[in-house]
Amino acid sequence: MMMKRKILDSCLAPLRMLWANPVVVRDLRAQMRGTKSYWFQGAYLLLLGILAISGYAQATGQSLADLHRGYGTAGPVSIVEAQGKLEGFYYFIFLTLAALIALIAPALTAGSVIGERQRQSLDLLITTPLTAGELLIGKMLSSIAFLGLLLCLSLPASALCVLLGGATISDVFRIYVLLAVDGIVLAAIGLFFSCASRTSLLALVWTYLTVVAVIYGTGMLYIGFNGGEVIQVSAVSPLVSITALNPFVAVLPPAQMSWTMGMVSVPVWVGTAVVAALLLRLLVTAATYRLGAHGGESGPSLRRQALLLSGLGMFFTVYSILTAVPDNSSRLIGISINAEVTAFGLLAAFLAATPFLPGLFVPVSAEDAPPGASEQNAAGDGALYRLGRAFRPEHAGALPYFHLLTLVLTAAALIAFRVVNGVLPFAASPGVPASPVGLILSATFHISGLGFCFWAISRFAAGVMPGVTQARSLAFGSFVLLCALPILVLSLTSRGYLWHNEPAAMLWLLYPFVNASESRGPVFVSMLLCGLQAFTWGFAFMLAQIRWHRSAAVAAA
Amino acid sequence: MLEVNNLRKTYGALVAVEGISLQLGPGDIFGFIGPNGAGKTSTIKMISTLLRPTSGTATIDGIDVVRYPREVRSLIGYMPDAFGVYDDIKVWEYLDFFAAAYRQSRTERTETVDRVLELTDLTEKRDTFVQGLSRGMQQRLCLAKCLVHDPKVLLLDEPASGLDPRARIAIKELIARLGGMGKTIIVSSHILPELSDFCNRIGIMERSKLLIEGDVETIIRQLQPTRQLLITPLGGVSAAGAIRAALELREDVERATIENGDDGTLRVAFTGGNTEQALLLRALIEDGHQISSFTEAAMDLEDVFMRVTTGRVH
Repeated sequence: MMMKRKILDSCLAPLRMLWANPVVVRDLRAQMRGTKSYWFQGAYLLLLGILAISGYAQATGQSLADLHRGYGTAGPVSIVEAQGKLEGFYYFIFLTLAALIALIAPALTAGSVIGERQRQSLDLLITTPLTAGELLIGKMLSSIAFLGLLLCLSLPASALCVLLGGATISDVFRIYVLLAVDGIVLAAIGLFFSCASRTSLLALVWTYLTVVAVIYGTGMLYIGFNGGEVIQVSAVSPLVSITALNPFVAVLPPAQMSWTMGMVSVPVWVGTAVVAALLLRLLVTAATYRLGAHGGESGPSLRRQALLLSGLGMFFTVYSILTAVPDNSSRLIGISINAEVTAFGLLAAFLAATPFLPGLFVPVSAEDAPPGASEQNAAGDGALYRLGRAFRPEHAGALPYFHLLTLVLTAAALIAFRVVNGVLPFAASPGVPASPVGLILSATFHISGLGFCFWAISRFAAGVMPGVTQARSLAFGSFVLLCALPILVLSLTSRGYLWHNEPAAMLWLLYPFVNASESRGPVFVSMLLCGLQAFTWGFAFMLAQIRWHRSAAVAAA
Repeated sequence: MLEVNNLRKTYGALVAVEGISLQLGPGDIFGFIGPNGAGKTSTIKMISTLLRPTSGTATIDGIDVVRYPREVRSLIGYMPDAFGVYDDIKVWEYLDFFAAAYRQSRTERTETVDRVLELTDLTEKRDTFVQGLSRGMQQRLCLAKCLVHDPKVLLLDEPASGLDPRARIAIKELIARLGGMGKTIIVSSHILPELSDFCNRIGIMERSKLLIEGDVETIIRQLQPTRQLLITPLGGVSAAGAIRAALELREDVERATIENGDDGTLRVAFTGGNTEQALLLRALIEDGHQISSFTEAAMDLEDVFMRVTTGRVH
């Protein structure tokens, strides 16, 4: 009986965190008290109303009253023309809503925890039995409640689109789900910086910089995949689910479609919701980690989640490259951009996955280890290069092995697909090399080489620097130098934007990403060369760290 | 109840707390005295699970603060030296929030809020907005917040700082009352008279070290093994000289010095007890000395503090 009750309690605990969270009650009480909240909602409605009416007039050249009569001052309108104009109005309404979400959602949380810290009330909260997770989820929920209110208030404006025929109810439903999901992720970014920053201004600046980077990165990725030459024939690529984290992309048609993987067809919004849930969990765990006061306990979970997310990111990136074929006829938006933009989009996805390397896999001795594990971590530095640790959430060198495993599995799955179906899941078309197996293997080699290289830099930094902050700074600095410095040097020594056509550009570790158009030989050759180079760098750093470790041991003896 | 063993905290090369050990039982009120920057706050924060010790252990009711912070948090009430209150929230809502954080049900919370409001004399302010309270009342509210879960140990960091004399007395009375209820209390202060009235044990900290610790009587006895008697004769310094000559012949007098040149007050280091002290007075009077005042100079915390510390800080 007791056992059953315990199990029931542990199952209900996460739910209780949602419905009986004292932080939510307290925050909402303070937020909704008085008239300021009503004034804000009134102003928001007024703004949306003005935008809706002026947007309608702008898009159609008519007032709302004219539409009922079927024609306006400009005379009768054909159905095709009217449809085009209503589509313009639809985009205007939803892009405005996306912009409002992108602006408001991060601000709702960016001041929450740092506000408590500056008000000197955080310590009072930490010394209660509330867990850091409950505290942060509470903060998130009170912001989300407000965000939900704002979305509900915008329904009259978007209902106009349904009423006038620019969109169906299911379209609007999907867009609202995506916008809500995006708003939550953006709010979680704000929450993380609210925990990690020292002042509220810094929290706000970092939050908005990150939000801009996310919107830019996902936007580039979206344009790369849907506006470039490389595009899916019948459905969108799985990466659209990631790009739909961008509220501006969420309102565009591809976000209303589905992608297929093998036999499975997944609506984009479902994929986005899953990615967002994983990201939300990662961000809240990272925020717990930075909250202080035994935050180190969440370190292992953070590493586990980072491993999972970066592995998934890599897998979908590789899968999307390999399954994409050029097909200009099914381009989803009317911008023609060459394959290099696509490659930059992929680069953005790769870069999004790699900051975990210097940030989370720098081994430290005691500072952020959970209680009892510090001695184990302190002693273990010499024994970190073990494949067996690949799935253990430690400050060990698990990541390159994890990537290697993921990529080998990807390659194996694709080869199996070929054996079973007789073809690979992409067609031989212009721009795609004749040997797809070669491309799979070389891409696997290149990306795992990069993972290994950055991991080795992180380990080296941890070995030579006394503190974890300095180690992370050195690792991240070296990472940025290796990725960005060659661009600077090459663009100074060549003709500006054509720097990647220089022969010396082949020495840049990320060169294959800009060589998608094969301006300098087949992509797989450059992938192999750069992969080899990355592995060489990685081994050099690894040897340097081992040497350093040995000499430090000798000095200590 | 509270046991601290060799607790140490370092930040890089800086040692904030150097190996502190102490044991407190139920009802003990421990006065933690030391100049600003001595390491009092760091020690209190380590015990209240806010700061992880570099080494050493602290247990409350046998539960380790590092390994089981959540369990420890339900046993302690912590009041920081500086704290802020929320805007747009009423006194009862503030306490209700903390009671909910201690996982109390709605009905339990109503009772708790009434109880702590009465204990801290804030019942009248129940529906006042927190930011509208005076500093003294906010301090009492914070103490009320510490009491919602009826903790066994209270850790109060400078509870009376920045208060006017009346508010200071009120909070001191409240702390003394809580000690009477059997709670173990640690109160820190850099101002001595704040603690001297109601602490039964003290610890003096300077430059990250706990210089001395124990109950007030024992510490005074340690620092001053002899009684200090103040004898003022009638007749000024000349009479005092005669008395001193007589005193120096006695075995129970270690030394006698003229402390005050104007009225000839003598300070006498006396090794005897109460009976010997009475006999000494009778002997002096029988010898014909005229004495206007004969008192024992009680050593107070201020003297102890000045004797123990060097006045240097980090």
